[in-house]
Amino acid sequence: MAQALKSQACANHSERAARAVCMSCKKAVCQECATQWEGINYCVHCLRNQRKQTTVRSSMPEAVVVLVASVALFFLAGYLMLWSSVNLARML
Amino acid sequence: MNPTRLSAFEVLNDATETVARTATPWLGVLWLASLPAHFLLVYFYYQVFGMGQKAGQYGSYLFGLAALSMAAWVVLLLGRLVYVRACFMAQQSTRSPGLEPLRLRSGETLGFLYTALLIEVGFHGLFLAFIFIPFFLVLGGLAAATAYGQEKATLLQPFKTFQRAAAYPRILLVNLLFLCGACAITWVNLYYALRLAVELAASLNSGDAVLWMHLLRPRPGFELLPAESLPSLLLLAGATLAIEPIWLAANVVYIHKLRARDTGDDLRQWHRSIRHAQETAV
Repeated sequence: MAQALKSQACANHSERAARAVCMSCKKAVCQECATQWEGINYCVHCLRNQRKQTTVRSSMPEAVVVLVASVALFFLAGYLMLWSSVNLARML
Repeated sequence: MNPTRLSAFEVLNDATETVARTATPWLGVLWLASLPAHFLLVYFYYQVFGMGQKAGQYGSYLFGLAALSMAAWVVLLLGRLVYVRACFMAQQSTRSPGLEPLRLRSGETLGFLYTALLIEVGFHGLFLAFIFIPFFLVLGGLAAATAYGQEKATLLQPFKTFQRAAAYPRILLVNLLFLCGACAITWVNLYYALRLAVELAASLNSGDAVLWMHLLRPRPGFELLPAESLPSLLLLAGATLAIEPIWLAANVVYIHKLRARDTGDDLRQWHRSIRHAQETAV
């Protein structure tokens, strides 16, 4: 495998020797273009697509929860600001 | 550059360079976003202190004012996020980022708002204990700096982020001392600059000068502060406004260096600088 790669050039940099194969698109890439994600080599484009899919899949319900929590925190912070300042005014 | 150590003074030094590079126009954006919140907070505390013991009787009015201040605070947070993005982009490249800092991502914006509001709740909830104020100030700076590049917002994200960001408590402590020291010095300088301006106006027989002189008269027994609460609060807001950009930039530089360590970028950059030095020597 390593010998076969040595004879190939990187898909993105023709002047560099290939060091890894992207497990998604099967392109040979140099060390700089290859990134290991969960133990598997990917090229930049495939990694970007992979991460996009993961983000879209998992973030929607969590974002709604965080949004609701933020609105609750907004009013709680306002109330606590009033409470602390009124008590501070009483102390002063 | 030595990648084996991370010094607090290096962080502050880099922060001043970052502020100089991002000043036009992002410092203006930060100040524009901050001004309404600072003025509303001054007005809110002025009203509460003015009411004194009777403040509890005006609950609904004061709560409306507090909610309005919080709404302006959200605008301030968005301004901070834009500024932090500009600072990060200045760290990553010497080229102008164009309008890229304004393109806020939903994940980082929501995550930052949630984290900052969580800190606000802690700050106001424990405000009267006083000793927690510095702790929440540190978290406030870190929340802004760690928001950049955040992919998604989750309920536990702030705690994980702070745990990682607290790797060098000495740097965070120096940043905090710098913030407090610089704020106090700016406060006193602003106060004396205002008094000098009023004295000059009085020498020109300006009609309002007497009123201003009364408003800015010093506290008996402590000449460095005004006796009245309104100028004191306004001066504090002014000092915070002046110091905030460099404090945020210091946090950005710290987080940027921390992330570079995690990814090995600092070693790559060090290696590149050594090779460049060798090549130029040859």
